[in-house]
Amino acid sequence: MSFNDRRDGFIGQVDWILVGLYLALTLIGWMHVWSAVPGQERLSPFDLSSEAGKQFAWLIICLLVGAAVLLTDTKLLFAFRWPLYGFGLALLLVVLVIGQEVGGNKSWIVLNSFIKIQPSEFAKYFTALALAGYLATPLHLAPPAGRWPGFFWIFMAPITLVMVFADVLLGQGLQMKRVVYWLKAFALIGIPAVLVLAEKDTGSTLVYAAFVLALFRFGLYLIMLYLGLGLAFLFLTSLVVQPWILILGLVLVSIAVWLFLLGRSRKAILPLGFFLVLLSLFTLGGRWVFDTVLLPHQRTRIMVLFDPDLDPKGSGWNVNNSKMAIGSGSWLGKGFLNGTLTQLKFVPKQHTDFIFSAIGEQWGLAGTTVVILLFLTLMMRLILRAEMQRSPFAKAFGYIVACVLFFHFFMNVGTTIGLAPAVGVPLPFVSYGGSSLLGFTLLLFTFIKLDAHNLEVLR
Amino acid sequence: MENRQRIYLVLMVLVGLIFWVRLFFLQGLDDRFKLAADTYSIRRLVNQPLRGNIFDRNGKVLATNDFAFDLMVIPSETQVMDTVALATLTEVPLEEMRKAWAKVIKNIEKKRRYKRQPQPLIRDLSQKSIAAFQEKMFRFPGLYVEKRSVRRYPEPFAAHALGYAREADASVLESDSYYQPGDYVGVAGIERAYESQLRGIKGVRKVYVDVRNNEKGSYMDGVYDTLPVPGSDLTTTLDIELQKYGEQLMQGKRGAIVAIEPATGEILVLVSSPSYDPNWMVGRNLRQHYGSLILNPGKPMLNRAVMDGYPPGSTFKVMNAMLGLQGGVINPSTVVPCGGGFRLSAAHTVGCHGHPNADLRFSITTSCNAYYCHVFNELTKTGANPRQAYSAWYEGAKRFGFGTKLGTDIPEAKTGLLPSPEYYDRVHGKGKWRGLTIISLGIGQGELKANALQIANLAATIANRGYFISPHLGKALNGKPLPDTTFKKNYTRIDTSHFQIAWEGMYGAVHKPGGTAKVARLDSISVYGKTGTAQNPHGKDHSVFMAFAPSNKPRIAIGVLVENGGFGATYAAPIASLIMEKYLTDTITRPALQERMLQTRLE
Ligand SMILES: [Zn+2]
Repeated sequence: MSFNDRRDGFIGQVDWILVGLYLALTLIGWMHVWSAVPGQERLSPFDLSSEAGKQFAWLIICLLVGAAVLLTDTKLLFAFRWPLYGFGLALLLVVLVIGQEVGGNKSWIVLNSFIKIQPSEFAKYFTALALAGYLATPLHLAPPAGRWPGFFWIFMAPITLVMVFADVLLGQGLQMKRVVYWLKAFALIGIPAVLVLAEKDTGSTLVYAAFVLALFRFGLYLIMLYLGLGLAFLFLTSLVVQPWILILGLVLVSIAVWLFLLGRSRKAILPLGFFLVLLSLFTLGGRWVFDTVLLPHQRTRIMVLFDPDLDPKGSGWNVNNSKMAIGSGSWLGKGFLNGTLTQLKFVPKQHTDFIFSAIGEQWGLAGTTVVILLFLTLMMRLILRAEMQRSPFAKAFGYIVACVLFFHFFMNVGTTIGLAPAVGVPLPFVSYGGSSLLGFTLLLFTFIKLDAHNLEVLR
Repeated sequence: MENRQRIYLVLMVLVGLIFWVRLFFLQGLDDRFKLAADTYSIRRLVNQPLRGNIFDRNGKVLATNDFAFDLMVIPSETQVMDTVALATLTEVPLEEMRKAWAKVIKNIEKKRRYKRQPQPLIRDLSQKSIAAFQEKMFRFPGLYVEKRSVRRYPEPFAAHALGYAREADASVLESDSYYQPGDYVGVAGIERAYESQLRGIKGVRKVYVDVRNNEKGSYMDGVYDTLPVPGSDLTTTLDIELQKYGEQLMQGKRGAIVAIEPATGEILVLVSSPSYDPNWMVGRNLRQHYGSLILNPGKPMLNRAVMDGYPPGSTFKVMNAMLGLQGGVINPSTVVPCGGGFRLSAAHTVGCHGHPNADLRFSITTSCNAYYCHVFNELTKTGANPRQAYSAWYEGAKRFGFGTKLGTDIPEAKTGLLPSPEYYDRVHGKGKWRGLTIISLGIGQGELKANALQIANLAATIANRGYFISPHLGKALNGKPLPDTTFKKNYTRIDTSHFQIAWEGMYGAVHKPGGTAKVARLDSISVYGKTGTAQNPHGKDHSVFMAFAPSNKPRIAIGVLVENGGFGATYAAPIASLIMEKYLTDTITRPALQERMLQTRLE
């Protein structure tokens, strides 16, 4: 590693813009958790028996934790990344055994009536540490591929195939070392993801896709990003468009790509054919998976994206009401604590997954614009700072934090305005919930700490 | 590689932009939500639980539920309404509809109900009217239909024991916050006594409704909603077949029958005559029958079995015999010369019928007045002064249940009248009364008032040789017997052995020469009885009879009171005898007697 042992400041040079954005978002969150209660039931925002009071207590705890992180020697986090990762996995295993079901997810450890812990929020942090540590050793410095047991290949077969064909398609020749390097990264992300999936926590599982998003910065085949976006697009369109039309479209696109992008290379025919078949199969299979594999409530969550009136009293109900609350906010909103629908508790889970609708109703387009701008500034600032990191660990960590926040932002706000399926992820720093607030605080402040010592890192 | 940073920035800006455009349309341009949002409201819907069923001791259904439909209104949500159209649609006379609206408005003006609170507009609509209304419901915001269960009594008997439930009135609403306007509450009989068990627990559902009265889903995903819990099923102690027989025998007569199982205090029969069909107290029937029930000179609504009652007459003598023995003023061989009566003074004598001189046993058998005037007179001499002695007798009589409600679960139970020492102080002046002043208490006349329940209970106490279990109608809830502690065991504090002579005397009254109740005799079973006649200053005396049977572990104790029936042996004893025979042998061996009783009309 390349940390300098000589340090002039104990804390270093903190990026106060990030800290300021953090404070702004957490305070907005706390305010609106407080507002999302019928007027006559509203206690003081500091009353510990109310959700707002609990959120305030958690906020204090998180500020202390954030300060503690700023005082910690980050070398420790790097050194202990594997034990911490192991600890995260152990927590996830424990929750599988003794976890309690809260709202359909068996992802909670209930200590007492006040403290419920959701280990998946912390596992996210530990996975981020481990992954950043792994990415800190870039591909060209990584050890040779070596031999891997057969089951590893079988388990990873689909991804391996995609990568092998991508290598060929890009005309770079097959590099086993590269394939293995990324397979290990996928395994690192995949193990906690599978454990979280076993807790039936769809939202938290999907969040691990955010880690994959970060990998592209470090050289993961971009074709996989396009393939991923393409698959998502295909999956959704296959639900409303006849599959054969889609396949026809795919064939035409493939021919166009071969003609104009790949220079009619003969070598590219096989891999391109492979992707075409893969996408076609997916198009046909997507509908089948949708109809047979997905559970009915998962199906409706997706279908209401196309038809909000499909399930007006079920999952469409939440989204519909959320849209109605946001829409009724108009340009400038109804004023703080004057949200009539918020007061009616019209939007279920409004203080957690649907907190954005409380902001939208009370502050209108003005308020939602501010929140979106705050998030964009935060995420883009993270990307910009991450790019400037001299330590590859800090850089990777910065990208991971930005991607995790981006994914949550996309899924959460997208759900409240009917643009993403309602899988139930919190809005970082804003939604009610101690575990998630603490998890995001750890992620952000760890990066702020790494960033604070950027100038001390020797090249 | 460096340019890959741009992918992230572009992706983020793109998503931010898409979201913002979406919000711009949603919040800025789209008016749909603004209209809808402020017109929603929350409605609290109550799911009434089914009232518990009531069974007789053999599992026959006495009370169960049917359905009725009410048209409900939430005044705060109504708009100018076409009353004529509503009346036509629901087939309710326009006049009734207008009156109903006036009542709703009055309820609000008098602050009896809030504007936001649902209240019934028209009750008991027909299925057909309901269907017609529901089709056009959207035209009447603030109105909706509520399905409600109503009581049905499959057997048209035992009206007084069962009681009835009716819409909670202002006083109930004020005293118990459980009840909302339109709720039903048991106000008489078993329906009242076991109201809290029979009523169950209301379910509550909070829903959003839009201006067109459509439900738009559950408030808070239904976390505050509760399901109604049906009321408990109550098994009563009544034997409905015997009850029916009792009511038939009392046809055309005023009076009461109470039969008790002595060992348990369970009331087998509780007849008050004239009676009525309990279904008359339900819904639209009530409007039809209420007038006649109130105007009937026989006062069918009055529960004669537990009212204040009449002097218990000679049945009271058995109790005085026991108090006399316990007080030591007589013993079984004490003979009191009768000679036509008890001489109070030169001018006054309490008369008696002609009979041989009597010892204690025969005095019960032949019901000698002189004997019991003597016993009572002697008892009032046992203390430091007559008042103190009388107080001791008064407490003793109370322990037999006179002047008390017996600890029964019948809500209408009255105490009757057992004059207290203070009472006589008021009437005659302190220190100005003694045994002879109030001698008629010795023979169960005078100010005394007792009802059929107390007289039957006296028979049960004698059958138990010294104690009674508070007579009651409730037996089990949801098949689980009520706890033993529910009904108290009450001791008379008379030695058990003293009751032997009471048994023998009462046996003699039915089975021996000189007995007053030979009409009550059964061939196969020993019956222990005592006749009585309650003096009636307003007309013909009332016929009283108490009895129990058989000799080995008495299974039934009975008290019968027939108003204006004359001597106890005339009507009360035969009726009691027929009921005991039916209960104990399930046959009637004296059809002629039965026929005579059934045909007799004293009204
Ligand atoms: Zn005599």
